[in-house]
Amino acid sequence: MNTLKISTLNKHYGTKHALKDFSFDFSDGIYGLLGPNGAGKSTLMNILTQNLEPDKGSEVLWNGKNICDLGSKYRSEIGFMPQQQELYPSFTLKRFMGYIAALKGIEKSAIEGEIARVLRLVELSDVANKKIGGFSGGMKQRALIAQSLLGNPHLLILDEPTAGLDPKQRVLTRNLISSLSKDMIVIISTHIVSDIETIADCILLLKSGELIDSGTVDELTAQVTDGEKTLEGLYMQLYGDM
Amino acid sequence: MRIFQNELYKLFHNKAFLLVTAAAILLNIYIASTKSFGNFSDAEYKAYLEDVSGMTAEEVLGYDEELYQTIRQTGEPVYCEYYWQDMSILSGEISRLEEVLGYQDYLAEINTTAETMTSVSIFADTDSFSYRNIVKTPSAYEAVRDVTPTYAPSNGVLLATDNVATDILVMFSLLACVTAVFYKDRESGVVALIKPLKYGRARLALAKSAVVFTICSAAFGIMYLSDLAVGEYRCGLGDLSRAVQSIEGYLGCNLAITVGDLLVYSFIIKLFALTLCALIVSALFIRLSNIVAYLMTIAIAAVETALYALISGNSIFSPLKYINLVALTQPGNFLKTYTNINFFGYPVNLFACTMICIVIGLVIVTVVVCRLYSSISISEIKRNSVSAFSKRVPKSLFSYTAYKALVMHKGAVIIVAVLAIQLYTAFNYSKPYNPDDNYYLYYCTRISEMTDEEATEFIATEPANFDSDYAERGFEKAENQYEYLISIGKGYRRHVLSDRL
Repeated sequence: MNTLKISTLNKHYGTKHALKDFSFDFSDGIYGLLGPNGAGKSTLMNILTQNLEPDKGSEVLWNGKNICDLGSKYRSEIGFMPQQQELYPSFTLKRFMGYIAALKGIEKSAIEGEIARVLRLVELSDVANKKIGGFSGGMKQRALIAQSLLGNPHLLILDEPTAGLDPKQRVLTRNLISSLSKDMIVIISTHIVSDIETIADCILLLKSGELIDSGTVDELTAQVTDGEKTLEGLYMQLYGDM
Repeated sequence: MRIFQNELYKLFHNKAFLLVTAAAILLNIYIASTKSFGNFSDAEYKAYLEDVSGMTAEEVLGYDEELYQTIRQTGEPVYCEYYWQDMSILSGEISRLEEVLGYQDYLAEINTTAETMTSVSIFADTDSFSYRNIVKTPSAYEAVRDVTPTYAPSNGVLLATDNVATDILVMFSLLACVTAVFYKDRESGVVALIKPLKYGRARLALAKSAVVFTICSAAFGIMYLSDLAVGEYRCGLGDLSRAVQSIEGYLGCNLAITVGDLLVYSFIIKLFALTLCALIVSALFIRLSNIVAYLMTIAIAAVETALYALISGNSIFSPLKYINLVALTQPGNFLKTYTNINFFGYPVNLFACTMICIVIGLVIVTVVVCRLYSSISISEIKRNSVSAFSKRVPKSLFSYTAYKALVMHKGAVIIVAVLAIQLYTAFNYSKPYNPDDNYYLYYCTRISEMTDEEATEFIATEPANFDSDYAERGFEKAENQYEYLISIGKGYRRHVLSDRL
């Protein structure tokens, strides 16, 4: 069982308070981060992936140890899919995966097998030797998901994983994420409510840097006072004025 | 190793880098091929070398002195088109031969000079740098007491070891490499993907630094070897096992090394010094925005060049002259002659200083590059990627297009590169000497002081006074210039000198 404990996480960008006293305990399962632009989702993800330093006084513990002290040991447990599609256009998909695998410290003898495994999961095996520069947006998105799965991470952080995917690929991705959650913590940030409605064990609602609520879909939708008791209805109720 | 290989693969698929490096290599070959060694062509110099091949140095000296006198008296050229070109070759070779043959006297003079100078009151202060420096000098030449320089062409070797154009062109290639290796990932936003990975920080930065060193080795190696190849083709490298003191300008070297050793040492020292420069630039591109990094690079280059050029070697500020990025890339500073720098009044050997500085500098800068690369945050990348221009709304299509072309697509770098090459060739250009020009100037000046009537009479009568073909040709040019200016209604007196001069 993996645990990620966040205590009074704060982050300022100059005078802007992007994350305010965020505290939450994660354990194995799928967590959805829901909120409009500027809610603090990407800031939280960048702090968890150590792309950003939090303000002093913040604490993030991975399996009981501070991630700042763990350093590369912590980063070796992460799989991260950022919300950007700039890859290396001159690389073939296989070479790109090999590069990421090398940066993840995966043993040379295991790389071929790992690459084949993750490409099968995202249905990109037949384009492994094609250059990424010729990929569609959806294919690049799946390539990013695939690289995040290399090395069997115990903490998977996905920023808008289904953006740019067609409906069939979105279902495939949701099913894939759902199948992975057994012995890892999966944190998904998304605007697309339907992506997490059916797979998330717990949903965190963020607004202007604050965690305003969290719970299962049923617990949250019970709070809807106006309109349909769905997650979308809750979203409109909470963020409709923004 | 895999990370290094992939970084190298990325670099070799960067079109800007390939284009700049290929252009630099070709330009280097062109500059080496067309560099002037004096007022004579390669073929003319080779003809002279052919005539003296097989002779001992003493025999060559006798031959040159005799030929010089003959040409001086007769005015008849032997190897070149004009007699003064032959005299130029011969006077240069005579100086070289006198140096080579008088080497032991030169060494003896070092001892004598040291004794004399230490007895002179202004140098006799035993607590001064000057005194300490003078006292150290004779013992520094003990290792070369038994060295015998030999006479052979030097220009081919110097084309490789003393070629500033090569250093500049390598730096342009390295600049393209550094921006591709360190800045491209920032620019494209891939850093957010790479940085959270286990080896996505210090180890990746180390791999990238290794790529910079590899490219430096390859680019500089290719250019250095092509300089040597051009030097061998144009005038020959000579016997590489001869003493380095045989090379023009290296008579004062206090190391018992061969010309071959010099070529190797020059290559290695320059390689590491250029790598040091490239890594310093890398550090700038890791943290600063594109424009600021380029400007800082130019500023550092300008400041270092100014310190190197303007500070005297004996000044208390001489460490700033010699412990300097420009100086580090010029091993001739300490190989050509025994030099100490003034370190708080104590002479410290420049060779040792330079080696230590390069090694320590490389270690420190590599660590700094790794630390900077590891610590950069996403917010910093986003902040630095917002250019000063894009903060303001572009007012016109022209300004936006100019920004795109000059800044985003690095057009400004090409302009700066062309400007640098233009300035280099302009400052190093020497118009081939032609005696006609002296007569042309003389006649132009005389005619400009005359009235039109006097000028007409002068032009009609002067040909009878010609004492040489040069006078006749110079006069003809002056006469044509005068008639042209009269025909277009310009007063001759306002246009004395031709644009040829």
